Amino acid sequence: MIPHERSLVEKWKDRPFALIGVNSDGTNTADGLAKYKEQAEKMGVTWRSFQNESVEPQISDTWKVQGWPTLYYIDHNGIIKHKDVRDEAEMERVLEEMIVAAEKTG
Amino acid sequence: MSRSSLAALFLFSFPAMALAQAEDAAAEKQDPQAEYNEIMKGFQEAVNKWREDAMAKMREARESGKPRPAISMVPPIEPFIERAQALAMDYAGEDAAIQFHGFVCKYAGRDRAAIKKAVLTLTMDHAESPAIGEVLPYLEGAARAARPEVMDLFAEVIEANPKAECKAAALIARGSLRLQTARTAASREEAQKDLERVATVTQDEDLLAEAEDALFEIRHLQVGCEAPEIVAKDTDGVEFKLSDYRGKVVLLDFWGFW
Repeated sequence: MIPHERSLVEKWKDRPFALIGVNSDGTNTADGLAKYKEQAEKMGVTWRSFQNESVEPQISDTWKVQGWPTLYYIDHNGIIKHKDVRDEAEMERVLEEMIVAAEKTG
Repeated sequence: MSRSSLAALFLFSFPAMALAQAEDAAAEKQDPQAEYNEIMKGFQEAVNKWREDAMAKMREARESGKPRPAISMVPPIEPFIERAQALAMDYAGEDAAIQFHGFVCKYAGRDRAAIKKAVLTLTMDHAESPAIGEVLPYLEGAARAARPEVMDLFAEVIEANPKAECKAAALIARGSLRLQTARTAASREEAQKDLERVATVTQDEDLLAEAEDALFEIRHLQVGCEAPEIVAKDTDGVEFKLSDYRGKVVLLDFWGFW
């Protein structure tokens, strides 16, 4: 999961694309945050994540997340275009399509 | 009042016992709640033991370098299901039977016939009981084995149960089930109708909140909806908003290292 995500961020770094995480590692505690930073460093996580547990209700509760990871594909207007696309090739295909659409209007 | 078809059956087969029960049910029987708790306790112990045994076997195989042993994927639940079915018969037609049928619905897993029978009996004998509400949340799982029967039970409770909370619980259960399995916009609309109807039958805050919760998913988290706003801190402690990224395609990823 993480190496593929890193490759997406790298691949589209000059195009209108952002990978935004909602991290559920209990970063609202000092201990959890320290562990997160250590792991993020080790695994090469370069993208930004919300801290899931930093708000009440937790973001994953508001978004009715039933299992992890859960993915939402949001277009440049903030509209949900896809959910639950997991296959790596299919992920890239739908994202490319969305990025092209964003570039056209941008 | 509830139709007691099974109670009637029971009377025909064991007139003496049934009479005694009718005369002084409380004195003749153990407390049904205590009997239920006893089944639950035995059931949980058996499942725990089954799990521990399986883990021990796996560990043993791993440590001795043997191939992975064949382990039953199904815990030994039959005796508890049978006991619950027997007690449901003992209390046939009475509210006390409801929780035993509920137990069967919740735990009988692959025994479709048992689940079907329990759901049918709930529909025939208990759809109008004010005590039916407690088992309705168990029926989402039972619907995997007996969906038409479960849908009939929900419809019957919504139609015939005099208690607002029971109607509301049935609407929520049916709406949630429909939402869970919805593949088309039309079936999502059906779910939405059920959930919106909850507010027309009850003022109960918990039930209303539950319905609203499920409705949020329909109204805001479907493909085509505007993504709900998120305002929270990032892992550097900097607060930001999802909408800061308008103009870009966002892949929002709920994740963790664990």
